[in-house]
Amino acid sequence: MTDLTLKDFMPKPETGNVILLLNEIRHALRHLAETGEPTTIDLSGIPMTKAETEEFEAALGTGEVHAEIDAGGPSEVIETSFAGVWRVIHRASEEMTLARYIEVTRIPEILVAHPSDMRAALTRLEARLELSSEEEAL
Amino acid sequence: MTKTDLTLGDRLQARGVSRRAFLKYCATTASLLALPPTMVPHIANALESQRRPSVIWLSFQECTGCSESILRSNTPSIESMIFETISLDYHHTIMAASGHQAEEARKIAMEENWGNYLVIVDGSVPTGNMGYSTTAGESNIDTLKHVAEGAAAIVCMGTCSAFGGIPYANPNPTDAVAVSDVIKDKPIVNVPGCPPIPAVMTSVLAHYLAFGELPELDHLNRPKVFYGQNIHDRCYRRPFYERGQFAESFDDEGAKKGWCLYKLGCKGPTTYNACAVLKWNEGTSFPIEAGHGCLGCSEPNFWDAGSFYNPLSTATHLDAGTVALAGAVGVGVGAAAGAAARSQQKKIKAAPAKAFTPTKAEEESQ
Repeated sequence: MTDLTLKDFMPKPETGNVILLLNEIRHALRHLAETGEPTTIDLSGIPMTKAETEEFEAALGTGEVHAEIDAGGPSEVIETSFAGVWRVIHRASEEMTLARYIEVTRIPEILVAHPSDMRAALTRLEARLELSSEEEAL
Repeated sequence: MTKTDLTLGDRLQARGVSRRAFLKYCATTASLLALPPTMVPHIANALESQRRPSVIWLSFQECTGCSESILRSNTPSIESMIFETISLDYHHTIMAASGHQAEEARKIAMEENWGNYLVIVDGSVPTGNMGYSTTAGESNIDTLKHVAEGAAAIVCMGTCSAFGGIPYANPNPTDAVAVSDVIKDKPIVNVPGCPPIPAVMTSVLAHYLAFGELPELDHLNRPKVFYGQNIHDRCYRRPFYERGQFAESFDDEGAKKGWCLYKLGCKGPTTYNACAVLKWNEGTSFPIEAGHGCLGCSEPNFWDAGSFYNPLSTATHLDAGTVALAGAVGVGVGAAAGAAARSQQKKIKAAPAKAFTPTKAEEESQ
């Protein structure tokens, strides 16, 4: 007969969500490959222990792209070792994480240059060139 | 095109805020509100096309801690950004105008936006001697009734406006009441806390702006997304509770090892708030992480719910043995203690606040 201790009645420290999440990513990646439709998973609503978070990140690994964005605070976009699967982390400061996402997509939206920004950039560039030509004329 | 005709998209572009920063703001707002990521484009479209709604902030019997909290959020931040999306037309503490000019600003904002403006209230409303709290010679209750009449909705920031708070505590000398005790015909959302977490306050506003309605509320009119879980369930010290490891004093070995503060009066099991998740001071920590139990400040009557340093089991007649048993069976007893303490709170709430009776000396001086 095995002696039971108090520990045997305690909840296990693992949530078991790592394998579930990896399976969800597998389905999302298959969907992306077959239809081109992206999927985003919000990690903040999925409980994981610190050890599980590390296990999850190690399972995804890192790929070829690692981008840092400075827009309303720092953000990081990390391609995992699985092409099309990205980790996107938004922060208010270096210490404060606001949101963590897994994006299964060709390229995360946050990296793409947006039409409104491009229009504003064009206006600025044109103004600068006009100023330069005026200066040259003087 | 006047300033008020400009959409948020126009304003952000004029201020040089990039689309990336805006999308990031929408993504973090969706995450905070526990909305599915598929809602991010919807939030972006809705916010972008929004014209700045007029907001009137009324301060009654309060300590200005709620304003401090919301205004001292980290910068540059999503919080500061959201305040560029509303037109804060009246706020005693921070508006540049004063005296008659300030009151005129409120009057104009109300006239121009009648039926559509948002009212934010911090502080409880005195119903006793009106002289206890007035603004420009008008009693708080008259101001509230008048301003609420043309409001689309009312947001009660902080425990005082939501539940009466500290002014409502015994002996409640001003006969203070919550806003919901005075206003019965307008949508009201309570954002309690002493003070509330800045991101909670601004996210509630963001939800209203994006969807044109208040978020889903619990039985105390609190947004479920932030007040749906208790502190205890999300506390990083919870495993110690489940193992029956408790600090017995603030300087014993248990306290030094970061064990559960339940026996030192922590009100985490009966307090519904997001402190353990969102934390304070740019996500640095929250009271339990700093070594002090939760006071339960986002719950009604937290000031009158017994000593901050008595364990919930004392208030709910659970003895130390029962608490120790909690270690063995984990969640069950914690939930039982929580339920019992909540029942106790209901009794306190049901009992009318003790009316203020002036002493003879006070009567003579009046």
